[in-house]
Amino acid sequence: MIDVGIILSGFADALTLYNLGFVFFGVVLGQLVGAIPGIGPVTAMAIAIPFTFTLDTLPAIAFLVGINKGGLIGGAVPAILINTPGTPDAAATTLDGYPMTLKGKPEKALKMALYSSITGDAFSDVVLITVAPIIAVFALKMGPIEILALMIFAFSIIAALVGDSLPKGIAAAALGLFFATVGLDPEKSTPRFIFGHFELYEGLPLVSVALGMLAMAEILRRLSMIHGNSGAAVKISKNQKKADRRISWVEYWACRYTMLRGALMGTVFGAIPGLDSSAAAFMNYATVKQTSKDPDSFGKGNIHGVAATESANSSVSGANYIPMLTLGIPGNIAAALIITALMIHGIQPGPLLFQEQGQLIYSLFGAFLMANVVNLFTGLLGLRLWAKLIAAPESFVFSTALLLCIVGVYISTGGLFGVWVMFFFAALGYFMQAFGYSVIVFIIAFFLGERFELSLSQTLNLIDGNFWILLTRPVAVILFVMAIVTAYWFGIRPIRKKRGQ
Amino acid sequence: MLNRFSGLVVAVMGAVLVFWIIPWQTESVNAGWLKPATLPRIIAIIIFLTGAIQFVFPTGSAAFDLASSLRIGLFFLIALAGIYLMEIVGFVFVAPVLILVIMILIKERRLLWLVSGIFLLPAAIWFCVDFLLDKPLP
Repeated sequence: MIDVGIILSGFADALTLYNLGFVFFGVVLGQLVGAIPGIGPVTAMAIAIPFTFTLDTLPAIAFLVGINKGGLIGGAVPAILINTPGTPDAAATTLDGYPMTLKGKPEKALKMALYSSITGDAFSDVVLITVAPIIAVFALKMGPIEILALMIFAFSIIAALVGDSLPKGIAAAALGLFFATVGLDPEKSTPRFIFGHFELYEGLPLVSVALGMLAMAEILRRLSMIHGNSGAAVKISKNQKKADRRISWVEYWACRYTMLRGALMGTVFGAIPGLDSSAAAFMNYATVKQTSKDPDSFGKGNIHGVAATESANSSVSGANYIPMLTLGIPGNIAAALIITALMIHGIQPGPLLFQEQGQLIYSLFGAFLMANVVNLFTGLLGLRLWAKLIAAPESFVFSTALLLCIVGVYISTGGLFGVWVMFFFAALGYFMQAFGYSVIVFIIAFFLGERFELSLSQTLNLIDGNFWILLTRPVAVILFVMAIVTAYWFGIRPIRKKRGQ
Repeated sequence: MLNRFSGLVVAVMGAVLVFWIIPWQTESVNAGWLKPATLPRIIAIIIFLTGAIQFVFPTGSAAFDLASSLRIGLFFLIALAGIYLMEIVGFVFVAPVLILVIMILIKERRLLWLVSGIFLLPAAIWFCVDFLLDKPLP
């Protein structure tokens, strides 16, 4: 187990004004971009990663975590005010948030979204801090065979994301895996698919691939959709009653079970790679509505509806870091981006991280908790301001994003080659999306690819042709069985069910 | 139709990888269990098979629209031209022109946002990256 001294020094490292500054900056940026429909914290994180290259690891990751957490609050602002979720997570918040605005209670809805979001997020962070080290201890006992089994299990989890076409999902994963093989091979260190470009010896730049697929493709798509003066004007009435502008303790306490249920559901969803926060939000909303004494009031501005969705979608974020930090498996895009940032700083997420970088991990946990507190106070002060800022035109926002992507990739890859690679993946990302091939599946497979090939190579050398050895490793056998069950349960079964209907 | 077409493209891609790119871009090694071409070849075969299945039994949804794709292609080419020019002339001179062209294309006519995008934005990036972070711009 990790020394208590390391835990305390980790938290002490995090609690400095310097780190607080970066957390604050990240949260503010996250809330801002979350409030602008279309950009979202994921794009902002992707754009910000190259700029964190110049920072130390802790402030860099704290900044990115701040953006991610801030986006959870920001996304609810346009969902409540203009019935347009700033982020996909906030889609369910429109159900009761917007009707509350129509009833003349936008600020009440915004504040409930803020409080329930912070409650859910704090809950999942506590689970992360207490559960993650235990999982890491188990994970450390795993050898190459178990790691290979884990990788295969991770690929089977991707099945949950393949959507309505299994061949397309497998093709997307295979493409991601194929691009991960660019560069030196893990066994003989011979160059592969470099086409004479020595920049590719170490593989495709992660930043270029992530930004190209996730940010640049979307930026170009959005720019192409703008015709003329763009922008969404939002106005909050100044004539609201005082009671309609605040949340009393009685109102907050009345929602405690709604929020607790949301936090639990979101944490479970977050800990399982591949399940997204909007699913948690909708599911908790449906459960709360079903169990309510007044289900008819839902969808008409019931404050429990806002608390249900926001507590659930926010609690997914903390729990997402459990598989990422302990096993090195990104559960969603935000986690995949954090892995990119960690790798840029020379840190490989996984069970060894707790042993080798225990202090850093607890510093990060400290930063997570700090981000929650900052999120609360920034949200209280900034909600009205974000509401005004979402009127910034898309023409300006996406032009800014375009330039930042180019400059960001140039800085982190040390030249324009990385920028050209980014545009290649932007084109690929666009076509994949247009033809219904999951970009998320591609990205996760790309991230897992390198470790998968390495563990496969180590396993094959270890067993030396005797595949029966695999059966002597109980953990590996369990993981292989789990992989088969998961692939069937999440990938094949829903598609069959759909066809049956 | 679109699903079938995408299946065909993926299958062709898989075949090109198996028969042309992988033999050309990997080295032959005799020793070891996992040769440099082994995993890429397995993946390429999977790509070919999934593409072929998609071509024969098309499933899923597709939302490809030629008109909007051409418009996106236009922005894509403008951005590429911008990067090419940045290599020759430099970020400081190309970035304002790139934003100007984009703003003209999307018909942004408000002076405040035009000035912000064309002058303030590149200047702010230059200030942060070149001056504060002390990193070179393209």
